[in-house]
Amino acid sequence: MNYDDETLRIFLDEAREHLEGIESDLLLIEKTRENVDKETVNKVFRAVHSVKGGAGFFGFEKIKDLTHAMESMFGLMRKDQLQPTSDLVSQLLESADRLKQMVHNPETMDSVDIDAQLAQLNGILSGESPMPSDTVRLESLDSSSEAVNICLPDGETVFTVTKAQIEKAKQGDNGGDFVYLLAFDLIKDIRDRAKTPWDVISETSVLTNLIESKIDEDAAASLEVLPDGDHKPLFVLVATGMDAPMIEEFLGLDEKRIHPISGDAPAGEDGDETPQSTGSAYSAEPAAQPELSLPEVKADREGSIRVNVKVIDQLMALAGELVLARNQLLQGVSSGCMTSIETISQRMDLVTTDLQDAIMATRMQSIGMVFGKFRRTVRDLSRSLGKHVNLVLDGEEVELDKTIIEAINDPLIHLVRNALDHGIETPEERALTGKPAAGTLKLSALHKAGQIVIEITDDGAGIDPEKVRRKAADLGLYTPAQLDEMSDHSLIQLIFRPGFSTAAEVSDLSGRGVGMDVVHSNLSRLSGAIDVETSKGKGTTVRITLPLTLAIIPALLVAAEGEQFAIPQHNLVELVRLPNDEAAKRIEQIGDARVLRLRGNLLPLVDLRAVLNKSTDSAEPAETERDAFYIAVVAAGEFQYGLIVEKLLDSAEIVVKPLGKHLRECCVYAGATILGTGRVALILDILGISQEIRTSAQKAVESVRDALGRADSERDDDIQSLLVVENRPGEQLAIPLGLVGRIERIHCSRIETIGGQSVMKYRGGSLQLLDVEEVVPVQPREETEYPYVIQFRTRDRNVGLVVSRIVDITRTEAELDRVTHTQRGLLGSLIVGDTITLVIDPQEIAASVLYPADEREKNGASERTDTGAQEANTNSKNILVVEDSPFFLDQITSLIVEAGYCALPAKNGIEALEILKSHASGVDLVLTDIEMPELDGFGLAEQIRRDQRYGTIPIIAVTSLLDSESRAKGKAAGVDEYLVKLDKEQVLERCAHYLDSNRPLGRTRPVAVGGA
Amino acid sequence: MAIADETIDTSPTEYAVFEVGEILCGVEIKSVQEINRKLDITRVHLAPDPVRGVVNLRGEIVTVVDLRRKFHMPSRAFDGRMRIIVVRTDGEDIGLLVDSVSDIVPASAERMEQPLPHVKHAIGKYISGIYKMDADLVALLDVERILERE
Repeated sequence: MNYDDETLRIFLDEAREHLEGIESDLLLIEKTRENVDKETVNKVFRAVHSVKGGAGFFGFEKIKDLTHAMESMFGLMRKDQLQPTSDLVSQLLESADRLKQMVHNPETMDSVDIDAQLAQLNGILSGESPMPSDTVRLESLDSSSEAVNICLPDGETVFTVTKAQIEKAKQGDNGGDFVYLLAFDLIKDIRDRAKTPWDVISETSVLTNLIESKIDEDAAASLEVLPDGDHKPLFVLVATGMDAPMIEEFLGLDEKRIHPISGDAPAGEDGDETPQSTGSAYSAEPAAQPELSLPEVKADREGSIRVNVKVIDQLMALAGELVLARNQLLQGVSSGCMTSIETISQRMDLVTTDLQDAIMATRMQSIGMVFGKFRRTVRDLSRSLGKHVNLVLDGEEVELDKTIIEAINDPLIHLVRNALDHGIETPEERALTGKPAAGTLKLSALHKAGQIVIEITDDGAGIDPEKVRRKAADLGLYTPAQLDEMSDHSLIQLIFRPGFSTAAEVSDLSGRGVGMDVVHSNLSRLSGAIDVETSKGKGTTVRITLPLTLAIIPALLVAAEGEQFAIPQHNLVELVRLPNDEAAKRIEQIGDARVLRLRGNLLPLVDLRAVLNKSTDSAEPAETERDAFYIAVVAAGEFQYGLIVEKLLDSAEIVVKPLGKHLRECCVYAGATILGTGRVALILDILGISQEIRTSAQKAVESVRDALGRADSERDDDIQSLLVVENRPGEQLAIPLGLVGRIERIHCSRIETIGGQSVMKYRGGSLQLLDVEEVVPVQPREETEYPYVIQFRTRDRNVGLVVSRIVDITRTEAELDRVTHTQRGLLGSLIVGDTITLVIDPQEIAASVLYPADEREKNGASERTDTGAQEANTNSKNILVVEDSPFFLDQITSLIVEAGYCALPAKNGIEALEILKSHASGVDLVLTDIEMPELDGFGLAEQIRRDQRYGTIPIIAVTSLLDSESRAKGKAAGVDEYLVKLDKEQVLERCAHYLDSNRPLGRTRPVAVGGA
Repeated sequence: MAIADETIDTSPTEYAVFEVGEILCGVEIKSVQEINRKLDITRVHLAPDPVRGVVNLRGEIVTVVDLRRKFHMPSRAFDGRMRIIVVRTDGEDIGLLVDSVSDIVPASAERMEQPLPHVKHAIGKYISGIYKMDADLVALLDVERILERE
C-alpha cells in the first residue's frame, strides 16, 4: 500500500466531522422545507462529495456507493427537482447513520448492510420510488445513468463513471466544461513535495469538482521507477472551468499528466458503453485493497484530538522557557546563590502556570459537540412519540475538558429523553391546557464562577410533588410524617434516589431501568451537582453544575483532627470566622443540631470532626478550647451548609488523585492530593457529606425557625456589618460591608498613574482606583507597601477604593449619626470600639470622581429641592421601600424623601404585602431588596404580579446580586429593573422614569429628580 | 507433619520474611514492589478498620493496610523498625504495615508444608503454607486474600 495509516486516519477523522455536519444540516433542510437555503444544500453536497472522494481513494466501495447515491439526491435538490420531505430526510439521515457506522468502525465496514438504503435512494432517483408518497419528483432523469469508461491515451481504462456523474460535476461547485484525467506521480508529485495523497485530493477538490480518484495498484506494485518516472500514479478525474495550462500552474502538475476528456465522448479510445449497471465496474477494483492496517486505527479512535496550531506554538514556546529556567536553576544551585534561585523559582512558577493553562486548552472542547447531537435525537424521539418539540440550543461555544464532554453525553441523553417522554405533553394535552402545540426544549450552557452550568428546560407538565410523595411513601423511604415536613423542593430531589421513578409504566424510551439515580451518580463522579426545579403544569428545569476540568482544581486547605483536608473551590461559598462571644449569639443549638444565623438566613452547621467520626455528639470538651469558630460555607447543588473546621489554612491548586479500592466506599472523600510537603491530604466530597447530613440538617433549620419565632429572628436585623479601615493612625473610617464587592491586598507597585488617574491591572483589564481624600475631607492616605483595594460596582463598572490598612470587620448595633458628619461621600458617623468612625459612601465618592457633571447638576438640583419638596409633597408619589437591613432602609428612605416622594418602609416581603393591602391604590412604585428573610424580593415580585389589584406597579430591585442568573430570575418573577445597591443617582433616575411614565399628564414633578 | 512430596520444582521461591505481633510471616518476593521505611501516613477517617491510612509513593496515593489490625491484634504506634511492604494486586499498589522486616529467604519446596487446618487465630484464613526455617516457622501469606475487601 502506498498510503500510510496516518493518511487513512485523517480521512476517517474528516469523514466523521463531515458526517456530524451533514446531520445537523439535514435537519435544517427539513425544517425550512420549501424555501430551503441553497447554501445549506450545497454545503451538504460538498460534505458528502468529499467523503465520497476520500472513500474512492481508499477503495471503501460501500461508502462510495452510498455517498454517491446521497450526492445524487442533493444534486436534484439543488436544482429544485426534488423536495426535501420529512420522509426523504429520514432516508438520508439513515444513510448518514450507516456512513457513520462505517467510518467509526472501519474494521467492520464490510459487514454493514447498505443495500436497503441504496435501493431506497436509487428508487427515488429513478423515479419509481417505492417510497414516500409525498416525495415530489419534478423531472425524470434521462439516459445519464449510462456508464462511460475513462481511458488513458494508451487505451487503458482508468475509471468507469456515468454520464450523469460527469454532467453533475461540470455543473457543480468549482466545476466547468473541461474534464481532465490527472495522473499524479506518488513519488515525484507527492512524496518529494512532502505531501500526502490526501493533501493532493483535498487541494484538487478545492480547485476543481472531483469526480473520481484512485491509485493504480498495478502500476504501483509491478513497475519500478522508470526513467520518465511516470509510474505509481494517483488518478484523479475532475471537472473544472480551468484549462490545462492553469491546472498545470495551480496543481504543479506536468502537462503530460493532464489528459483532457473531451465532451460527451470519452477521451482516448471510445470507451465501451456499458449500459446501466455501473456496479460491476466499481466493485472490480477494491478487492485489491483489503490489507489496510485497520486495527491501529481502531485503537486510535478516541485517541486523537484536533488542537489549534497557535496552542501548539505556545506550548513550544513555554517548553523553551521551561528549559531556560531549568538551566538557570541548575546554575543557581551549583553556585549556591540564594537570591538567583529565588528569582528563578518565581519564573518557574509563572512558566508552570502558563504551561498548565496551555495544556488545559488543548483538552478543551466546545459543548456544542454534545448539544448538536440532540437535534437528531429530539427530532427522532418527538416523531416517534407523536409530539411536537422545538429544540433551542444556547451557549454551544462554552468549552469543557474533553473527559467531561465525553462523560456528560449519557446523562444528558437520559435527561433529554425524560423531558420528551415524561415532560412535554402531546399536542392534544397541550391544547387542553392552553399551551402552544409545540413544546420547547432548551439546552443551555454558561460559565458561572469557574464552573459550567448546563440547563435542560422544558415547558411540559412538570413533576407533581404529590406523586413523588406517594411514591416515596410506597417505597418506604421516609415515614409519612417526615414526608409531610419536606418542602416541595426537597421532595423533588428524591427522584435521584435509586429505584425511584414516577412514570406509571416503564416506557421504551426513558424508563428502561436506568433512572435518574444513574444520572446523579455519573455526575457525582465528575464532581458535578444536579438540581431540579419544577412547577406543575409549567415545566421542569434540570440544572447540572460541572467543574471545567477534573485534573487540577483550586481548593482550600483546612485542618481538623490533626490532618489537612482540601475543599474544592467550586463547592466553597464563603468563609466565616466567629469569635466565641459572637458565636454564642449567632449559633443556635437545638438538641444535637446547630444552625448559624447568616445575614437573616439560617444555615445548618456540621462539625467536620463529627462527620469524620460519624458521631453527632457535638458537645465535645475540645469545643471550649477554641478561640473562634471557623466555618467554611459550602454548597452541594442548591443545598448550602456550614462546615466547622479547626483551622482555615491556605488555598492551593491541587492535583486530584484517585483513592485505592479499599477507600472507594468512603463517601466523604472525593479523592486525595499531595501537598507541598509530600504528605497526602484527602479531598472532601461536599456532595457526599451533604447526603449524609441533609435530612437532619434541614430538620434542624426547621426546628430552630419554629423555636425562635419571628420576633426573635429579627434580632439580627439591627446589627450592621462594617469594614473598618485606616489611612492614617487615629482616623478610623468604615464602609458598610454590604457595599463591598471584594477586598484585595496588593503591592503598592501595582498602582500606576496614567493620565492623572490611578489604575491597576486587574484580570486582563484595568481597574480605576480612588482615594477617600479625593472627595471626603480626611487626611491623605499613608503610603504602605501593601495597601488594600476595596472593589465595588458602580453604575457601569468596577472601581477600587485604596486604603492603607484594614482594621477589622465589625458588627455593631450602634445607630448611625447622620447629623454631625454630612459632607459629600459620607453616610454619617458612629462609634466603633470607642473611636468615632466616619462611615463613607463609596458610591458617592465614585460618582463625584467619575461623573462630576451629574454631581454638579444634582447639587444644583438639591438646592432647589428644599423649595420644591414642599410643593411636591402635596401630590407626591408613594414608593414602597422593602429592605431588611435597617441601615439601607434608612438610607433609601431618606434618599427618596429628599427627592420629594413619600416613602413607605417595610422590613421584608411579608410586611410589604401587608402595606400594599392597606394602601392598595396608593403605592406607585416598589423598590425592593432581593435577599430578605421571610419573603425575598423574587417572592414579593411574584406575589405582587399575581394580584389583580396592584399587578402593574413597577418593581425595581435594588441589590448587590447583579449576576445574569438572578437578573433572569427577577425578570421571571416580574421585576422591571435591576439596580446596584446605593447608586443613588441611578435609583432616583429610574424611579423618576417609572413614575413619570405613569403620571397623568399636566402634573408637575419634583425638581430634585433632575432631567429625565 | 509430613514433608511435602512434590519436590519436582527445584528452583527455590524467595520470600520476604517479616514480623507481625509475635508471628513470623512471609510473602512471595515477586509480588513485592518495594519495602519502605517512610511512615508518613495520613489517617483516613471512616475507612474500613484494617486501613491505617494513605501514603504518597512517588506521586501515587497508596492505601496502607495495618496487618496487625487485619489479624485482629492491637495496633501499635510507629517506631523505627516498622516498614511498609508495597505489594501489587489488580494493578494497584497497596502497602502492608508490618512490625519489622527480618530477611529475604529462598524457600526450597521440601521445607514447605500445608497450612494447619485448625489455626484459630484470625491469621488462619490468610495462610497459604508453612515454611520451616532452622529455628522458626514462617506463615506464608496469601496476599490476594488479605487485600480482598471485606
